[in-house]
Amino acid sequence: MLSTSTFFKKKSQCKTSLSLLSMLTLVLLLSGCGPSVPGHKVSDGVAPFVATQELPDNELLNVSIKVFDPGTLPQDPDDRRGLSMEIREAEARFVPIHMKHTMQRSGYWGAVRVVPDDDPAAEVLVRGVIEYSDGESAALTVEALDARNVVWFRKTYAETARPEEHFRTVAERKDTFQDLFNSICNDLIKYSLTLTPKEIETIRNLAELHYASSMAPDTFKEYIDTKENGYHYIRYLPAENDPMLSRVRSIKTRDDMLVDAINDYYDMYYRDLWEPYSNWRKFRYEEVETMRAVEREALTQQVLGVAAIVGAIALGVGGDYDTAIRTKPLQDVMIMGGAYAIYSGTQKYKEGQINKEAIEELGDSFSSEAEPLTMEVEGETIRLTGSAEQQYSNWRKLLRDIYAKETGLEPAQNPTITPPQQ
Amino acid sequence: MQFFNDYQPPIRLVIISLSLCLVLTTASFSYSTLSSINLRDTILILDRATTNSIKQLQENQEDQSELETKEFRSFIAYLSGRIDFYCQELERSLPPVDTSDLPCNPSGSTQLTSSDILSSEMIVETKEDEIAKFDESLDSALGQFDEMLLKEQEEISSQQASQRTKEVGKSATTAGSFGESGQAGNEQQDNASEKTASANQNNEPAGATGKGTGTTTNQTSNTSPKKRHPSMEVDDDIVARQLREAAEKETDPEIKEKLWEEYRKYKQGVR
Repeated sequence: MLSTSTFFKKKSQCKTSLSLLSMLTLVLLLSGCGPSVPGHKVSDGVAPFVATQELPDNELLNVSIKVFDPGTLPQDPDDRRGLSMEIREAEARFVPIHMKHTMQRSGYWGAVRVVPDDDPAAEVLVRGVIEYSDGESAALTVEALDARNVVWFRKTYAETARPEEHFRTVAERKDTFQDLFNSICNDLIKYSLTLTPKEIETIRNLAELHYASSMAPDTFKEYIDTKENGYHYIRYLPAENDPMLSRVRSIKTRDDMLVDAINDYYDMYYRDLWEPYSNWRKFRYEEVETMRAVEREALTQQVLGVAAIVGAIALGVGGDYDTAIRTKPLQDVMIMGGAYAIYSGTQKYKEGQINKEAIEELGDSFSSEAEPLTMEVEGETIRLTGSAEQQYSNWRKLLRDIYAKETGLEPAQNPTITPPQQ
Repeated sequence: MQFFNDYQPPIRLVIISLSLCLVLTTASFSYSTLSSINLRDTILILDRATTNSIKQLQENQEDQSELETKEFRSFIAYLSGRIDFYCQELERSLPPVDTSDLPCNPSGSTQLTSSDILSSEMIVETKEDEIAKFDESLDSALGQFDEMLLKEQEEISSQQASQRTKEVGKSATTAGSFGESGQAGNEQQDNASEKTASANQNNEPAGATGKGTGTTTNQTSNTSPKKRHPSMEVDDDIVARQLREAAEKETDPEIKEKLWEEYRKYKQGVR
C-alpha cells in the first residue's frame, strides 16, 4: 500500500507527464496546420447554378465586375514566404475574369464585363478584395450592389484547395478554387432571383439614367434622386423618344464596345496567365506540403527528444534513491537518445530550408512572369480609357451645347460630373 | 539618215535634245488640252446637276422635312465646292483656258448663285439647324470613335490569333515532353476545341452574350462592331450617301456618270 506522500508524489508525476503529453500533442497538431484563412469556408463540390432554359432579355441584368483590390500580404514572414504584391496584382485581375466566365456560363445574366474602375452605368456592380491567397488557400471579400445602391450582400468566402483540385484544371471552366467561385456566383444568382420584374426594370432604368447623368448632367440629373438611406430612385422617366436620350444611348453603345475591347485584352491576359499561375499554385502547394511534412517530422523528433530528457530527469528526481540508482542506465540512454533526437530534428529543419528556398524561387519566378503581363494589360486599359475619356469630354461638351440650344438655358460652365456613389 | 550623219556628234546631240523637247511639249500640250476639255465638261455637267438640285429643292421645300432640306443644302454646297475646285484647276492649267463661258468667276469661285441662294433666301438658321449641326458634329465624333474601335478590334483579332497559335504550339510541346503536364495540356486543347465548337454552333448560353452587348472572348463573337451596327456595313458618310443617292436617281446619263465619278473620288479621299 502506498503511503500518502508517495501517492501524492506519483499523482503529481502523472499530472506533469499528462500535461507535458497534451502540450506536446497540441504542438504537434498545430505544426501540421497551414496559415489561418479568414472568412466563411465554402463547401466542397459546390455545383454551379445553371439556367435550365434561356431567360427572356428583360429578366437579365448586366453585371460589371470591378478589378479586385489586391489587399495586403500576410504579416507573418512564414505565411508571406514566396508571395508578392506582383502576384497579388495579377490575381486582382485574374479572379474577376474567371468569375466573369463562371457567371456567363450560368445563363442568368446579361452582359458580364470586367471593368477597370467603378462603373456609373452598372446595373449590378461586383467589387472584391483579396483577403488572402497563397495558392493553397484563398479568401475573397465580395460585395454586390445594384443601380439603386442597394447592397445585395457583402461576404468573405474562403477555400483551402484539396490536393486533387490542383490538377485537372481547365481554363475559364475549372479553377483550383472553383468551389469558391461557384459559391459567389450562386449567391449572386440567389439574390437576383428574389427581384421582381418591376425591380429589375427600375434597376435597368436607373443604370441608364446614371450613365446619361454622367454624360449630360444638365439634362438628366433631375430624373434621379436619393433617399435618406442612400438608395437612388427615379423621380420620373424621360420620354422613350427623347432626342437627348437617343444621343446618350448612341454614346453608351460605343462605351460598351470600348469595355468589350478592354475585356478582350483582359481575356488574353487571363489566357497568358493561366498556365504559369496554375503551375505556381500547384508547385507551391507541393513544396509547402513537403516543407510541412519535414517540419512536422523535425518537431516530432525534437519533442520526443525533449520528452525523453524530461522523462529521464523525472525518473532521477521523482523516485526514491533505489529507483534512481536502478534506472540510472535507462536515464542515461534516455538523455542520450533525447539529445540525439533533438539534434536530428534540428538537422531536419535545415532540410526544410531547401523547400523554403524553393517556395521563394517559385514566387520570384512567377512574379517575374506575371508582372510584365499585368503591366501590359494595365497599359492597354489606360491607353483605351484615356483616349476614350478625351472623346467623352468632347461629347459631353456637345451634349451641353445641344441642351443649351434646346432649352435656351446656359448650362453651368464646369458641370461637376458626379457618378453615383455605389 | 545620211543627212543626220553629216553633222558632227555635238550637233547631233543638240538635234536629239531639241527633238525630244518638241515631242514632250506637244504631248504635254495635248494632254493638258485633253484634261482641260475634260475639266470643262465636268464643270458644265456638275453645274447642271447643281441647278437641277436647286430647282428640285425649291419645288419640294414644303414637302421635305427639316433634316432632308438641310441634307439637300449640304449636297448643293458640296457640288458648288467641287465646281469651284475644278475652276481653280482649269485656271492653273497650261496653256491658260478661257473660263468666261463657264460658271467660274475671275477669282476662281463659281458664278453660280447657289451659294448666294443658300446664304440669303434659303438658309434661315433656326434653332433646329444649329442643333442639327451639333448632332452632325456628334455623329462625326462617334464615327471617328467607331473607326478607332474597329482598328482596335482588328489589332485584338490579330493578337488573339497569334496567342492561339502560341498556345497550340505550347500544348504540343508540353504534351510531347511531360507525362502529367501533357495531360493538362490536352485538357486545355480539349477546352479550346470545345469552345470553338460551341462558338461555331452558336450554342453559347444566354448569359454569355446577354442583351447583344455581352463581352466575349473570341473574334467570332456577336459583339463585333460590324455586326452590332448594320449602318456601319455601308460606311458612307452624309456626303457620300447624298452623292450615291443622287447618282442612283439621276436620269441624265452624263450627270449620272459624273456623280458616280464624284462619289468614287470622295470615297477614295481624292477631292
